[in-house]
Amino acid sequence: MALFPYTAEVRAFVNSNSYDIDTILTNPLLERVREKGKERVISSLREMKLGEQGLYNEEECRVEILAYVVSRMIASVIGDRFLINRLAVTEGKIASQRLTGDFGYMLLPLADEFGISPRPEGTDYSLDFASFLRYSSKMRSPEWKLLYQRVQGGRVVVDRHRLIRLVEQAVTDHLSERLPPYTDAIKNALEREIGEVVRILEDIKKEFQRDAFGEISPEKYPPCMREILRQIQNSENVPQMGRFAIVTFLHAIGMTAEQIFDTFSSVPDFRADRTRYQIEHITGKISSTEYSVPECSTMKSYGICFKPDALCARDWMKHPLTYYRQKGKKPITSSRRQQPGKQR
Amino acid sequence: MAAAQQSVPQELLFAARQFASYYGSHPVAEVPGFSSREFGFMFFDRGYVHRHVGFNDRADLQKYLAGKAPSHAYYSTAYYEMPAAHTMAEKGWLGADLIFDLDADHVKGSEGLPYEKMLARVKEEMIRLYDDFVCSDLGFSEKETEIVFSGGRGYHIHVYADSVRKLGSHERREIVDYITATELDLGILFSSTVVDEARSGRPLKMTKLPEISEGGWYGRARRAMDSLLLELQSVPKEEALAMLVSSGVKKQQAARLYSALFEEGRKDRIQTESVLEVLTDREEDIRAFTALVQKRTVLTMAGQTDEPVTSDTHRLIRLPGSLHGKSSLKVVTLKRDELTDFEPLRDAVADFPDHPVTVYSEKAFLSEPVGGESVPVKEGANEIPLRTAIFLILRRKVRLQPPGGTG
Repeated sequence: MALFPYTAEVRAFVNSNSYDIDTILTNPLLERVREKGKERVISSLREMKLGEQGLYNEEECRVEILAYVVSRMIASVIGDRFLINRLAVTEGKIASQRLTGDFGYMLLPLADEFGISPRPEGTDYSLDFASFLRYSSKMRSPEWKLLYQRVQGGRVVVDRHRLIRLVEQAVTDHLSERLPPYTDAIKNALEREIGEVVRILEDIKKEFQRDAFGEISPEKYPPCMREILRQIQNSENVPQMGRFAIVTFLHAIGMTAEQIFDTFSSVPDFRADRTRYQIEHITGKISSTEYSVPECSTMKSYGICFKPDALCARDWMKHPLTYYRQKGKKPITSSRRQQPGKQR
Repeated sequence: MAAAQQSVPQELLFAARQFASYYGSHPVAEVPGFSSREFGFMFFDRGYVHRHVGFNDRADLQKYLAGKAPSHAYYSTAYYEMPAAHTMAEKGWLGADLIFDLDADHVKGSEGLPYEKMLARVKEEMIRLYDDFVCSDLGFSEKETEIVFSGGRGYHIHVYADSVRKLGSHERREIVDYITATELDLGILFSSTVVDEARSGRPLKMTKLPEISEGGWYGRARRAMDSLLLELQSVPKEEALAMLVSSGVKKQQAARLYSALFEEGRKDRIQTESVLEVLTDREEDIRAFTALVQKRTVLTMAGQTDEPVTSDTHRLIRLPGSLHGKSSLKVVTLKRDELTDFEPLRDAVADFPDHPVTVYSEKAFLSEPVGGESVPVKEGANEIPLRTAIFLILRRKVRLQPPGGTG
């Protein structure tokens, strides 16, 4: 229950144990809860994690659940979209990791919680196309389009991996859309915690603006992206997945929509309207969803992993952005030295 | 007010009187969620939609129709907390029915046809939209849906299922893209795996073709491929080559593809093994073949529907049972089996009193068969049945005054 603290069961638990807002905010015995709630926010801001979680006994779990409630109160009072989204995305990612790992048995109950109600079909699942759309429409990668689903009798079939991704999105949406109400009581009682979060939030926003990837350097592009760019510039017919990959990639390394547009516009039979729409579609929408560059395995299965080189062949090389980060750096010796924030 | 009235042509005042008396004795259809709907109207003497009207019950609506005789009556596909409020924020959107719209203006192949033929063409497309997409793929039952003849140049499908009510514009556009196969890319449907050939060092692609029975565009693309192969096989070689070239395949490529498929027997292998690469190891030929199948899939199987109508979650749509102010035809709700034989000019003609009216025409013509019979109209004065007269008046083909008369 403490692992997925946004269920109806948890809400009932919090209510039934007479943890009214006032107790959570002021009871001296719950100081640890407030501290952990703050940590939960800070750690999701800094590294998209939820902080230390013991969860070995009932007491630990209770603390964790209440800490979750506090983290939501802090986010609500601060009311910053970046913060709220980041918290929501973190909770979603953590849910996804847990569902992929030891807590797979929670997948169906959690899906039901968000109205997805999947039906197991062999190793896959089928779900109502409207519930699929509700969450898949946030994902801009073409493979999530309804057009590419096996739609039959109103149902869509997805594998387990995709169902987990949909539930992750459901958690994220749910948390970014619904927040506990703002009250002055919360603001006053959590003044110290809120102050600390706000300072860290400002720092992190500044850091983000400085652009994590620094100057754009084409010589660090992975071979797949170079090849897709070359094909585009030679007006070869680049498949949709390839166009999606290059746009998300250029966007991720810091190009603006306008710069990406310019990169394409040198092409002789360039179709301005369509290209602009696609670029804006992928980069322009500010939402709680992050559009990620397809990972190497996805690139391979769409046949757009072109000319892999020695760096691509490394065991840990699973993502075009990892290539971009690593290229030109000293080779990493220990696999522990990963960049924070990106899944391995 | 008086000045505005004077500029209204006689004909429109006449039509308004007929509409008013019609509504006095013909109740419009029931609308699910009636009190949560916004209503909107156009009038014969005004050029804009009077929106944000709400009614407590059908009797109130009926009184309004009979009293004001609007030329067009609409209701919102959306449900609102306060349907009569003037801003969207105040209205409080609660959800919307899913709507599909097919109109002669958008249906390919209906351009320039006479009214009846044009409507027949739209109906054909409508049946496909309803059977293949709305029912078969999207899984809606007859109970959850209504087919509506718009009284003008097209048809609508209303889907009342709870599951779709909360869908936003973006999600609805996804449904349209699905139906119309917008930007369909077979590279995504035909998933290929890269088999690393250790010895040659060259990555080999293997593309698995979908089976006919697979859902959505997977099965469709396969059916399109199979029918293309069948068609190419059933004509003489020269003709097949010409077909390939006219679909954009280069001459030499067409020759290579043809001989691989039909002279080396690879057509059967592709179909039994369902692997694209058995066709040839020339990648450019595989690409050309895939592009061919893609074109064929879209051309023969894509549905049509008007995108903005479906994606707009605040749209006003014609009220079933009301009259269309540019044709006088009834907006008619249909069951699927009624659609097949539905003839608007026979089945959507409103029940106006059966008496003749004198109308004037500038030239002789044969009227559309309103109510089943075409009426020959000659130059000058004609005495014709009221239902035909209103139809022709609203379509601006005849007048109530002789030419040169005022009005």
